[in-house]
Amino acid sequence: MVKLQIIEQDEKEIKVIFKDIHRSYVNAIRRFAICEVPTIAIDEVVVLENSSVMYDELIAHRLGLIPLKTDLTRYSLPEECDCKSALGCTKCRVLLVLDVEAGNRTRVVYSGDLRSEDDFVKPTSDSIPIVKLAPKQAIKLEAYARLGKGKEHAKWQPATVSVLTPVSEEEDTYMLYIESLGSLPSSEILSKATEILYKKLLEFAEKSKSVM
Amino acid sequence: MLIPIRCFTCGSLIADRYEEFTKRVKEGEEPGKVLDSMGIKRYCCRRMLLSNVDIIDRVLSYYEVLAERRAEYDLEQY
Repeated sequence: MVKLQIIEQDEKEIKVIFKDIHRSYVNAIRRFAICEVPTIAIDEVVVLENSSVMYDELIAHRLGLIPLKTDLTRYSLPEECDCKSALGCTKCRVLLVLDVEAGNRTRVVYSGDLRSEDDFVKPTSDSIPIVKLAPKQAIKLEAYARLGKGKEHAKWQPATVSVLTPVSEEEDTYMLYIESLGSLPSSEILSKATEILYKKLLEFAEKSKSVM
Repeated sequence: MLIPIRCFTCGSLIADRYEEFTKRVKEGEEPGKVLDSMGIKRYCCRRMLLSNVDIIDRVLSYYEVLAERRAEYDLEQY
């Protein structure tokens, strides 16, 4: 029987010791925490007005990297969503609007200035600088966020650090340390990664049966 | 230009700490100790804050002067 022991746990970090488990399984969980657990990030940006000193592409890239709070129960991946539309629906897309104009003074545009159509899906921090505007400069854009996986782009990674350290290799004991970016709680990353591993193994068993 | 949003190496969020960091360093605190107290432990994230230069400020000063001149010009017109 596999034994689990949580050593440390809070919103951001989790430290777990796995006992009597083969290394390949824990390593799969570690990897899935980085590249298979989905999160929400801005993916498409429609720039309506940009008189700032930064190029549209640069601002779009910065917006993409802002971690957004993710609710995995209400949102699904666009490729798995039942709407089957390229534009997306309320179940697979979130609209965020940014509309800022500098007055007579230089002003910093923060992630807190982004207005989301969903009250839950918001930047994890309100003090991330996006651009700086000189007097009279303005920025107006629509940003579309969607669920995605870390293997597609690093902006969708739920965990920054995910390390596996052997405690004693003869007894198959390993310590897994996961540090969350804030879009998902660390415990949810771990449970989701395990769930995905389980699903993939079932799928593999199913497929190998049909070959034999 | 502006402080990168995430650490280049590990990907953790660093941009939201930059203003507090520069403010405290300007007030005379030691950069290393400021980073320690803000809980930035890894050296990949520490170098992001330590080595950043906001070049956008140098570019913006030209636009600030431009806006001033425009305001002066508008005054002259009326």
